[in-house]
Amino acid sequence: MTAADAEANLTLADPVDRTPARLSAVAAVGLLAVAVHLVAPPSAAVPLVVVGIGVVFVGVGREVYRRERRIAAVLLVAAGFIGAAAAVGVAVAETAEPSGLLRLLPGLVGVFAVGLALAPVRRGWSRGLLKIGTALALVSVLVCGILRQADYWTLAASTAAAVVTWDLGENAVGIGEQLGRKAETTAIETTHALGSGLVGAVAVFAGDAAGDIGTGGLSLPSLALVLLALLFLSAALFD
Amino acid sequence: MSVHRTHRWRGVIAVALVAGAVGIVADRPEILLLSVVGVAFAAYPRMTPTPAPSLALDRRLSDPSPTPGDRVHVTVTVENRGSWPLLDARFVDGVPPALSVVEGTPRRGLTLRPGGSTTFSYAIETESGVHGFEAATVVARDVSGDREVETTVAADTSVECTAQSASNVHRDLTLDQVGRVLSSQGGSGVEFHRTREYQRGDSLARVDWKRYANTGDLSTVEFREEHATSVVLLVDTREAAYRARSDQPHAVVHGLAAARLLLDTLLERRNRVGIAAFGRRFTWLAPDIGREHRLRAERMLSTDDAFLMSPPTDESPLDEQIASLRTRLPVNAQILLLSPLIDADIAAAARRLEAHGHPVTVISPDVTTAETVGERLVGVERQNRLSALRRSGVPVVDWDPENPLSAALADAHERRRA
Repeated sequence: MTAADAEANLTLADPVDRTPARLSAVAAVGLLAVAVHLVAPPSAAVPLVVVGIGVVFVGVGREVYRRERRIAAVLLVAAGFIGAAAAVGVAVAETAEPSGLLRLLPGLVGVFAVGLALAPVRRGWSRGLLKIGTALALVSVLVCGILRQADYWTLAASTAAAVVTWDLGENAVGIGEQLGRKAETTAIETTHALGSGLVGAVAVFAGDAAGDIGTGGLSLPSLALVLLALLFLSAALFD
Repeated sequence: MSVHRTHRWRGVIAVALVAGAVGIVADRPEILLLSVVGVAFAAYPRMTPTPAPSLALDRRLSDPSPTPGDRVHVTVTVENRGSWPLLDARFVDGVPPALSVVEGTPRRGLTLRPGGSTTFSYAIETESGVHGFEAATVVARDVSGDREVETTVAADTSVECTAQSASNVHRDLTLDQVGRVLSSQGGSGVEFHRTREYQRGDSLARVDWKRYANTGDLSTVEFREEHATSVVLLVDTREAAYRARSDQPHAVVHGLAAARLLLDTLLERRNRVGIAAFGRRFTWLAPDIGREHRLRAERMLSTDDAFLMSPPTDESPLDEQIASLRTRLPVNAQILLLSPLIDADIAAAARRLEAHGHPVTVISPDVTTAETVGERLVGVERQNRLSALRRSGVPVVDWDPENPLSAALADAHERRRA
């Protein structure tokens, strides 16, 4: 918020808990877990759930820390990290082929990173961890695509979900900074999520439509050039 | 109203670039098409309309004249007067800076259709004095979050909290206490005017002792009003004064609260009181007397933009402001300086004004803490400054804002008598 007056005014009058908004945070972590599950081998379910539990531990630890029970908080956060390590262990044990591991592990770590960002484990790291987490999930998507383990729709849905995760997470962080935890923000979070979700759906269908141009007779290099041109035009226009 | 872009979607084009590159290099059309997904997201923030918020604010207080320490419930209704829906509006109400919120929160996220409104409430704890609510701040974003429009919404609301109940008498300032701080400075006019019956609170230096010795009646000598003492309440509102203990109001808030109390007390006893401030620019209200002047002074303390809640970003040099003050000060004016004494410049200014013949008394809210080494150093430097000022003949009242001002004044008087 750039209103220095309101900021100075309010932080003096009521100390604010500036952690990310809870609804969007939970939605973001859940959505990224789904995105990773789409592109990972079936053995991914259990590790993802364990990572989710680890994130919950970290989140609870953060709440407890705020209530001045420092030792309990540190123990809870440590338990969360141990849970994440356990999830990785389970993944390694349960996944048959190394290629499956390559699809799963970046996404698994990414989900935990996003969970840490939104718990938050440290407020200054939130946006950075969010970007790293969603980037790791996208690595999983790309690996899956390179290994030809999924069709376009799955890959596109997963990519869109990862981007929407980042959007919801960053919105949660922003709302936390401007309004704080106690404020009633369900309405704005839902509206924002609907907007991004809609754009995600449109994006997936747009990619499919672009693909239809390709099957109409363009070879891959030609399609690539067309899309590259579109890409650079967009970069020039939209950034 | 100011628009600014958050650029939060800036990185998403990288997704498209990476997907495109990997798709080409690995010869996978499905991955190549993911770049279109990225492009769609990159285009999103450009497609959404920028909000133009037009809002109306209504505040209701459960009790507009409470006693100090009471809990007052504030019910806020925000209405969208514009013709477009507000999809992501972040509302922060302008709670009076000296009061704290004890229940609920004055912040909320609003989604309003045209003509729609939202109502919510929170509770504040009152302290004695008149507290005006400030304008609420609204930050409206478009759906994508790319653009932010910041605006304020005002509604004239104030809480008047006067300590009339017996249990709060100790929080009032009596002229006794203020008078003891001022009277030793002397400097009143010399032209005799008349005697009148002694009233409780009159300075003992004004009592006609001869008459008392002869007749046993206490009477007070009054001098012509043109030469009566005038007092200037000088508030330090420079950037250096905007310091606070964590989660407490800053020194300027305390200084203004003290100024209001002193203004009331001094005017009640027919002193001429003026207001001045060092800060963004030199501010001045000449000492005067009467109801009109009191209203003008109170309004100045509440609304003049020399007394904003946020520190000035640039201010004119202190020397110039001191010179402006000196040209305007009446000859026998006393100065009550309200400053946290966090830096050396203001202490030097106090000494200069004292040296130029205007008795200065400093009332200094203590906003230092002892949490870190740096903060302890600031505290020690401030104590040194206080001692140096006292040694040079400027009385300083060291006031811990958690206690009422009257207690600090009583302590200071005790110390001076000892």
